[in-house]
Amino acid sequence: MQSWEQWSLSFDDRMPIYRQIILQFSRAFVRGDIRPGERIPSIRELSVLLKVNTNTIQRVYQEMERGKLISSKRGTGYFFTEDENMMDQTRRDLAQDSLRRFVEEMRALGCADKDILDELALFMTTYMRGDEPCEAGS
Amino acid sequence: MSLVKPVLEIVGLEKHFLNCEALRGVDMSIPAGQIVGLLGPNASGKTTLLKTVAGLLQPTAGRIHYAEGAEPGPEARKTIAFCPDALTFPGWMRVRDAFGFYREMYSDYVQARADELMGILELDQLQDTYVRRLSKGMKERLVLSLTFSRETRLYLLDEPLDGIDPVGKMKVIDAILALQPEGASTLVSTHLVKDIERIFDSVYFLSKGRIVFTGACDAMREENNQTVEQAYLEVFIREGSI
Repeated sequence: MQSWEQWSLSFDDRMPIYRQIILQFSRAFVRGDIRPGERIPSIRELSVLLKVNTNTIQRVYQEMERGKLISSKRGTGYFFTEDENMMDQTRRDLAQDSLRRFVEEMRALGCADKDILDELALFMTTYMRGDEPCEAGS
Repeated sequence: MSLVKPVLEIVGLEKHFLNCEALRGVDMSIPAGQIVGLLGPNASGKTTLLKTVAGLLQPTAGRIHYAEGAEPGPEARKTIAFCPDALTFPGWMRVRDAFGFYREMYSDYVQARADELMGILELDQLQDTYVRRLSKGMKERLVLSLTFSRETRLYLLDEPLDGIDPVGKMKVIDAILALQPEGASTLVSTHLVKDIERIFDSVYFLSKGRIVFTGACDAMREENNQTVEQAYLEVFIREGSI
């Protein structure tokens, strides 16, 4: 069960707040903190909890509804999807987003795409296996 | 463009005093259901603008249109909830008397709203306290509670976070977010940008009586990679105001 009070109040400066909140919802869903079919707070409740404008939360819910992540039931509130496939889809979307940012950052460092793949392969076979990634002087 | 009529529209507003031009051709449009920030350094004209919109000062020139169709002046005062930057109640009044005064004074006063506000802003334990004994922060909380105990279309808040500690600021923000009625709008003047920018839909920057910048907060982040505070510093350093 998601503890809404613990949602981070500190937002990234550069990304619109509504997108950051959608990301928080998506991550909580993928992690299992929000269960399929779980009721989420009303627009006003979440607005007060996160200290964010109600129109921002309204936009969050509209976007998530359009993306079929949540649905509204008249008079009873907003509920997360019960469609299990959506969790895989959301996980893939988040992963794609992370990869896109990773590749952009590596390219900005001057790495060619082939080097990025080589670096990633090396990283996965050393650091992610539990070894320390080649420390200087060791 | 929104089809809903703005709650407030200001065109070419001027306010001159004997020795200064406090407002110099201000244009502003506040859509229904929004919280709008009026930001600017000290002496930029924020309080003059709010007082003129609230009907407490007579404009020198320009027009003010209210959603209710009220005429600027005493008629507007009945439909606008204005929260001044300082409490003006006599010190012999107790907190409960202040609420009683508002109840008698304004037909749009709603007791249930007052009760909810007293809870959020922790005034419920101070009902018998004399106003003069309240700290600066608690006075700010009281005047904000009184303002939002009215159910109306337009709220004007003059520096509601000034002199309030960080926890108090959070509570004030809670009160604004929880109590702004559907379709109503709030115009908040402040120079404490960082503390409150997340609750704004859009902002106007006022410098030396003129609007020097206006923008929607989401668009500022999305298109310019800028928070309101960053835009504020950029604009006012350029203007030479800070």
